Amino acid sequence: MAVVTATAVLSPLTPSDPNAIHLEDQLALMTIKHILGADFHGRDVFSRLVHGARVTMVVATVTVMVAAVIGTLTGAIAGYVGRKVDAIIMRTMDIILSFPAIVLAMALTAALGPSLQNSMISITVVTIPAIARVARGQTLVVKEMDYVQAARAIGVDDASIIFRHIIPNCLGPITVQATLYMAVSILTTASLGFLGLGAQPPTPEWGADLAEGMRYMREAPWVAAFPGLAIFTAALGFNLLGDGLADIMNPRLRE
Amino acid sequence: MLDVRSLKTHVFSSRGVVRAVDGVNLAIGVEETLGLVGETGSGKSMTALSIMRMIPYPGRIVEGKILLEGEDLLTKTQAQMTNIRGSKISMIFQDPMTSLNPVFKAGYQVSEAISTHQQLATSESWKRAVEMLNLVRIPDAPTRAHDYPHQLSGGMRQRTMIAMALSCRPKLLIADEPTTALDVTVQAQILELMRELRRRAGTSILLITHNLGVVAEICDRVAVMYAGKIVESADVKTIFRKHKHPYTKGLLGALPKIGSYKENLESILGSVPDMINPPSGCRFHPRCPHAKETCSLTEPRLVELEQEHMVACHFVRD
Amino acid sequence: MSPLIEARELVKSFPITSGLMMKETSRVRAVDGVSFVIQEGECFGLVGETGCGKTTVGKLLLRLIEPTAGDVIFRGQSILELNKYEMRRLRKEMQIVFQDPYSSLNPRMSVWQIISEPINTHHLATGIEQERRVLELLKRVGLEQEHVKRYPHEFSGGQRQRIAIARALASEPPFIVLDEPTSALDVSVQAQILNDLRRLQRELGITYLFISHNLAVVNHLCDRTAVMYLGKIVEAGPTREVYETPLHPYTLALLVANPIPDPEAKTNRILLEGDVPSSINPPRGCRFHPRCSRASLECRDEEPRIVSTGEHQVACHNVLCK
Repeated sequence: MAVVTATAVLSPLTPSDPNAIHLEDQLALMTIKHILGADFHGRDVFSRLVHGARVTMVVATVTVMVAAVIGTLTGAIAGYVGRKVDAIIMRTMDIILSFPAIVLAMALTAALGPSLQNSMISITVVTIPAIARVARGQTLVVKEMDYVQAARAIGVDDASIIFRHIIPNCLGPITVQATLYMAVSILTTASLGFLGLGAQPPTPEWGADLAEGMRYMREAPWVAAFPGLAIFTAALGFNLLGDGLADIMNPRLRE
Repeated sequence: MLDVRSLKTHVFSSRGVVRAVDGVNLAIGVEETLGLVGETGSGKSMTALSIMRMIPYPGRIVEGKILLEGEDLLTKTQAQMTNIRGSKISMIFQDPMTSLNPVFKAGYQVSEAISTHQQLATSESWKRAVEMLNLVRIPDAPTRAHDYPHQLSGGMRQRTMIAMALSCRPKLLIADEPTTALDVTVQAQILELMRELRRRAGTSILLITHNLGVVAEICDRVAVMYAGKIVESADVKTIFRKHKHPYTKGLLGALPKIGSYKENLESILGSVPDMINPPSGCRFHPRCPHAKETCSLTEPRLVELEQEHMVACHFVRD
Repeated sequence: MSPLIEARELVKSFPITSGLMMKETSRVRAVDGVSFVIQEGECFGLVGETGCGKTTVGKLLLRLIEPTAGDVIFRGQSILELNKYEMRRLRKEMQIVFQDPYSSLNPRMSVWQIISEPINTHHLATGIEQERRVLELLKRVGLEQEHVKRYPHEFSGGQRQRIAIARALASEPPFIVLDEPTSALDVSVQAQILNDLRRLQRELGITYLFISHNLAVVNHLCDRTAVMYLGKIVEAGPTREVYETPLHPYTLALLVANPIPDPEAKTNRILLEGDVPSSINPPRGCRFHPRCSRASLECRDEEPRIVSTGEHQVACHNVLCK
């Protein structure tokens, strides 16, 4: 995961333009000019990978962060206010959650029109309920803590209580959930790209590149292999990060 | 009967070595009740766990001897210790809710304690279990034995624990704050029960508590612990009337007593020391109103004043 | 002395639901008709065992929980009639210190933020004046200036309680509810805090409601005491009188059950039978009658009414003779 982040950050420094077409190098094997080979259009796989990393990281981070903000807010409000508001919010979340994430994302993107931005929007929408649920659960616990009662006794208004007392103390599990969802986001982006619903050509994107490379599996398997490997590694990386965070956060294991 | 010599239990945490128990000497005679008194961080619970050899990682007994009827428990294997626990030494804990398994019936848990150490048929051990529950004055024992812990009140859960602990007639019962979590009226009942049971069974008790009232009620002798060491020990009357260590004095003076209307309670300045870096010399010296220079330089040794009255203080003659 | 705050027939019951549809099957009457008056400047003690409702009373007085019935009168005005905004403004006059020092401070807020929160909420001071106030509060409770930047987990239980006390004092309230403030602390720390509470009361003229199950502590600190059992007050009066000549059998049992730190004191044990019954189905008539050694037929059928001798009140059919 660190590798992916590093790559994404360093992407502007790639030697060759990922979109530059070198037809003479069509489906070339790994050479010095093209470290990981070239695709059908003669574009350098390596630089496409690197630029794709940037796309992936941007999508993953932005979608999860926006979802986290919206999810935390709605979850905290639902948990704190309770009753009707809680019921309405959580039922809405349940409805969204009842669709498999990818299917929903597909449907939304298709409805909005295939593009990178739209795929980001649909992924965000799909991620919000998971975070809202975690936020609400934590809020219910934190709400009963004495320091929240103390704040009410002081006369602090509800909004301030939510922002100053409840949300900062919910961040732990939310961070873990968010990190895990980055992995989901990466996979979903790639899937959408694979289906042609995400980033449009010629933007380098792992899923789209994977789809393209599939066509030449027999002659030049590396064109598909590397994007696939990249997706796998990135998703795994975030998953491991999420697990690690969860372990650290667990107070019982702290010794 | 129980003779603890120079016990040292240290906890090797990531922040440093916590010298929880740092050279403790204790002795409990047959049918005697010793009260081990101290505040948080004094090491009293660790001492109890050391005797049971149930120290949680990363703690370890680093030195000492624990002689139970002449045999050194520190030389025993874990398997042998498992045998000893429950049959020769039993322990009861503070919070009966978490020390009883919520998914098993009360009667079952007592009978499990019995059948672990005695080869008995299930029906036989159940019968014994009900007898024990009766002995600890649980009303309608045969029916209540079928209750789950959450169906029992705090007092009854603690009685169940006592039943479990005494079921195999151990020579030594270690009670770690057994009544702290209970209401005052229930506490009185449990203390009365403990008095009766020890008379009947001839058990010795190591009672760990911070409540000096309980100590006065039920203990024959008392040892006061501070920062991992014993600072004073004597029979119960002497400790209350003729104590010599400044910490003991502070502890007794800090207690509000019904009927005495003092303006201010005597308080001990400062707070419990860091056990990773305890104060040099006498560990109590930063808080002691009588501290002199020697106190920060050398550690006082436990000295026998009069019969069985031991104090660890440089200026004990004052 | 004038009355500062009064509880009038306070009742609080909680519903018990069962089943998927959460149908209400019965109610727990945690507080069942509690009345008392606290005079300005006094320390009023409320004692009882678990489940008697004393903590609930404290929260009701502050309107942290809404009473099911009854009223709370503060400085002659019913606080239940106030709307949300008026109530919030009133809150600076009444504060609370909780029992557990480990959960009463927000772990994500620094000491400065914790103590200045009441000041900011009520716009009492800003800038340099605020700084002066916070530092003065710290000094009053015995903490150091440099502690402001630290976080709760860096402090011991006793110090955390001091921070909680400083927070309660921040809005300069005339009334503070102390809910078992020293129960979770060691004896020596408890002594320090109790001494400090007394000193603060003298210095600032605050009125306390001191809730505790520890009879000795209440005896030490409180001018008047009320004893609660299963949601009702069974006896109330000047502390000395209640402790030296208790009128209610439960009060006597409580006093006698208290282990005395003196091995030579004779114990005149009255062991109460059984455990504290649950407040879902309290016994009929006098709630204490199943465990009372003096219970008569009357006690089983009729709830005792309050009888007063001077300042000392008791609710019992068979009052103990003086």
